[in-house]
Amino acid sequence: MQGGLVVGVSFAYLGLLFAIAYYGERRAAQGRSLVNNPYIYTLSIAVYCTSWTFYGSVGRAAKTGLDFLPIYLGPTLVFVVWSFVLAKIIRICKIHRITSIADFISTRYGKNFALGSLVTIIAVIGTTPYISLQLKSIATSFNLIVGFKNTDFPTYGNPFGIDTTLVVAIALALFAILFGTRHIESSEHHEGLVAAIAFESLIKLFAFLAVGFFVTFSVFDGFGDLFYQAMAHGLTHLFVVNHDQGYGQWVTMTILSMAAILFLPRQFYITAVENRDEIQLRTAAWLFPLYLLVINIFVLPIAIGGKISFAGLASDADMFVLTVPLHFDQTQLALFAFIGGLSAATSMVIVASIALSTMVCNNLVMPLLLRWEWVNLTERGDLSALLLNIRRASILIILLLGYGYFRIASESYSLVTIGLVSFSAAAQFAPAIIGGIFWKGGSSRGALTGLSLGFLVWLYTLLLPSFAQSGWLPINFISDGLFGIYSLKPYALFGLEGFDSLSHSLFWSMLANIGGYVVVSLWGDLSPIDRIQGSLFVDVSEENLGQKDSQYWQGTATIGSMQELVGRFVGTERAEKGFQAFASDQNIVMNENDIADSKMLAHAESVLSGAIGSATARVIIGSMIKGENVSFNEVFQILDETTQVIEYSRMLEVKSTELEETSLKLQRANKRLKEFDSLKDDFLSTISHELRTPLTSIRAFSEILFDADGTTHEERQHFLGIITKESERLTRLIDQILDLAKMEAGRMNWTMSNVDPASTIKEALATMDGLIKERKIQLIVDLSDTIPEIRADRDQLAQVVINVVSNAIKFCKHPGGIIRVSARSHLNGLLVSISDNGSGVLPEHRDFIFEKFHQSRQGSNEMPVGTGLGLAICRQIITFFGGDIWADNGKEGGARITFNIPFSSA
Amino acid sequence: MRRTGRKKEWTLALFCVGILVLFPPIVSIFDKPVLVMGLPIAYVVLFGFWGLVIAAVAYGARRKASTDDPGASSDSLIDKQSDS
Amino acid sequence: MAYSVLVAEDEPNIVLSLQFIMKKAGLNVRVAENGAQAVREIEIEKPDVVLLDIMLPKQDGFSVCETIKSNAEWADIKVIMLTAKSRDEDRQRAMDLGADDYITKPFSTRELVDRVLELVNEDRIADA
Repeated sequence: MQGGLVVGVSFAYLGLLFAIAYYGERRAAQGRSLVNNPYIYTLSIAVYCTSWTFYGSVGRAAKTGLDFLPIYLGPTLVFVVWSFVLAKIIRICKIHRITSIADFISTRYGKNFALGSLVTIIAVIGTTPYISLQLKSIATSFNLIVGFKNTDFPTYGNPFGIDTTLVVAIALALFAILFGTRHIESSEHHEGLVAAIAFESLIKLFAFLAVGFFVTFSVFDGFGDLFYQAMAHGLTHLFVVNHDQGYGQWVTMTILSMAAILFLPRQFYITAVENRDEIQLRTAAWLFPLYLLVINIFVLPIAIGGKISFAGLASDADMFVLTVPLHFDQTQLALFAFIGGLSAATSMVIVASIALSTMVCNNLVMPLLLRWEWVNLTERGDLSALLLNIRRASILIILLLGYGYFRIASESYSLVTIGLVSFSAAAQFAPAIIGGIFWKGGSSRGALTGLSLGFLVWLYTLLLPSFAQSGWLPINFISDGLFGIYSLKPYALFGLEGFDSLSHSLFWSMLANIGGYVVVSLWGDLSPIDRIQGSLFVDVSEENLGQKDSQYWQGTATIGSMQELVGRFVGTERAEKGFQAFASDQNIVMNENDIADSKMLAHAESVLSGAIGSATARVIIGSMIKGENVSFNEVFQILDETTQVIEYSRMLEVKSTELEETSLKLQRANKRLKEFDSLKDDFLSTISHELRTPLTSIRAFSEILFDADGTTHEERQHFLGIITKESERLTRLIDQILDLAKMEAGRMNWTMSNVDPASTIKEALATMDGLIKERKIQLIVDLSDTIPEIRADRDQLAQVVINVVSNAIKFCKHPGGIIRVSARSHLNGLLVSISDNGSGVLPEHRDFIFEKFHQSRQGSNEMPVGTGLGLAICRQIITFFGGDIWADNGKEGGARITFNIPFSSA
Repeated sequence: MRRTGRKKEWTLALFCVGILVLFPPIVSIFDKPVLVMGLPIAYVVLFGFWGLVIAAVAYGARRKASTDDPGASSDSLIDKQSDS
Repeated sequence: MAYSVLVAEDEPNIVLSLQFIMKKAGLNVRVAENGAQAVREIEIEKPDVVLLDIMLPKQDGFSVCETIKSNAEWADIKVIMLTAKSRDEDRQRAMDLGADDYITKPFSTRELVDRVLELVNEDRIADA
């Protein structure tokens, strides 16, 4: 076929695409969107079907039968659960104005620059083999259709005289640049692009179906005939998924393709970022798998047709879609098939390169430029040109990388094998994203660790070996391992053998990736920003829609300056439109000199996010608010400050809880103090009462004596005696109160020594001798001779005996009183009992009598009146000596007071 | 027809059935080089099952009758608990 | 006819002094050593004035005061609380129960006599 014709048709086709894109954008500008319907959306997702599908599947089917299918079954399974995976991702992308998969991951994990750039690098490196696959297929198919000399023996020509693949790479780069980077969008949507991609999906579907129909119903007589012939030619091994090996690769490929449909950068971009309306997902959920099913029906028939047609001839099975029609002289059909293949390849290259260039610009280059102060970025005027140039350069570089990989490795691999290397790279994003939208505990450090490890393992077990097999690295890297270390063999890492290289790589990379992600996430505390973004992503729901995450902004930038800033990145006109739309949405009148409120700032940030990614937008808005000439290092701290504020408020919360507890404690303490206060009040009132009673007698008789008249001598004597006794009572009372107060306050001066109890008790009794005799009381003393010494204050111990005996004298029978005093060793201490033959102590009073001012009124009137403090003092003293004192009734019914004191040796 | 209000469970069940049928060991049952009505049995079963899954998804993804107008974007796609 | 005074007090020395003072002022004096006895003495013969301690055994002064003042026949008996309890709330409680006066110990003998005479004379003027 004429090379010129093929080139002409190709460019005409590309021109048509351009026209469609242009038309799509015009319609969008007029507000009559062409692409805002579920069918266009579904077709745009079909960018998934590339040259791999168009050419590679047939090649694969011609060699190994049905095992090309997992690549399409996997996505079908993912779309089964669209309602809680895809819909969630799309919702998140809308809320946070996500521009790419790198933006998504970096935003989820605290707008982390390192993470965004790592994802970008992985995406670029991972996509490179995939792009090279498209270049290879275009170049091969072009050479083939131009150079196809006769029907018997397909050969490749070289119409340009130079490397066709390089020409194709540069042409596609220019096309992608024209397509995707004519201007900076203030939103993340590219309507023209989507329209063109959807059109391409139609073309490739129809082209492939046309070839399929031709082979099945023209070359053969329908499916029955085709499969019968295949049997006759001994091709039954193509009827099955697998006829000798296990299903390891089948499962691996299914899992990989499930990851790929979600996380290939271009799929993420077209499915999530370019989505207009979530509702369209309802249609795409079944229509896209249906598209996959339809385009795959004829893969096996074409493969079988090719095998039978070229039986015994050397032929590239990857190109059967072209060579079979050519073989049967269907040049027009072949040309249509070539255009179909071209559409499959170009759509992938365009979307991938635009998606990647956006990532490179927003997540790699711009953040770096912003960090380098010498670039002085914000001082520049119109930055949109700079942004565009960065993207254009990125596209060119990405395609040249693809070409480079083609030169290095592609020649020795089939299309599908190359594609699977890219799928494996895309799968590395799965843990960070799936974890990120379902698990709040995932941290940026975890994601960074997991991604890095997974990527390194992928690099080592899949990408580097592909270089080695092409001779760019020594082949013994594969056969002997790195540095000849056997356990480092890239296809049998740590001695893991028996798997195909793909499954092997998937296992190790996922182990490292998921393991790193989970373990490191669990290891440390979540940073506040991780926590915030985690809950924003995991808990995304209808309610969050429209609520941006920049509610923290507060500042002093004017609306005018904000608009100017945004204009530098997206263009003045677009910025103005965007701000006015916001004003009318919010129903406010905008004045350029007004201070931008936080809503306005959030809006500005989201417009900027659409153009340059969320991480960068945040820094730039931050710089504006903080003032004109602030260094970007400081600006980068804004984010940290925000997190600090959150941390601080969390601490405040803790503090206020503590405060609450403290005030509760204070309340309790106050209550107890009040109780003490009323106790003290009672005590003082009682003391006052006790002091007033003798004073009353003293005063009354003093006044009687003072008046003197009408009193006899005997009366005067009697009254003076009363006054003296009451004065003594008063003195005793005061002494005892002071003693008791000292003891209770612990300020008593004790002179502790080893005391012989028997002699002390005898001495104490001797002081009472007069009183006892006077009252004719019989005192029975029973002291054991062998009582060991005790540790005590001798005078105080005597005081105890005196107090208790005084009490007994007061309460014993009168006349005929008997008092028994006994002292002996008991256990490890001294036991002293003093009993009388009075009326005894009521059981309910036995504890009470040791309280202060407890007075029994049943004593004899002729006794010195008690103070009510004697027994209270005894208890204080005995307790101080380490003993106990208690009361009960003795054998004769009288009261018995007993105390014990431990021996000093004990 | 009636909606059960438990779409999430149905969806997950369908996903599990998909995995079950497509992964070994079940896949090996029909993975034999035999023709059924002139077609390879694996080819028929795989594409047939695939079609069934798509039909099931399409059935599950249909909108509520009351909000069948195309602009019903308020019809939430996430956490649909109240399909009834 | 001489007025009669009932002294309800458990401190023997204070009882002695009160007996002496009241006799000297020309009043008939009877003594009760505890609250219950005081009520019995009133039942036997109604006095004109009761000098009532609060800290009494068996039935405290408040209770005795209440018994007197809540009995219609006895309500005209003058009750003077004579007590060592000096707190305001005790004084208030006594007045609430209908006590005619509240004198804290130690008291001035002259003032006490004056107060007792004042109360009985008041009564006489009211009777006239």
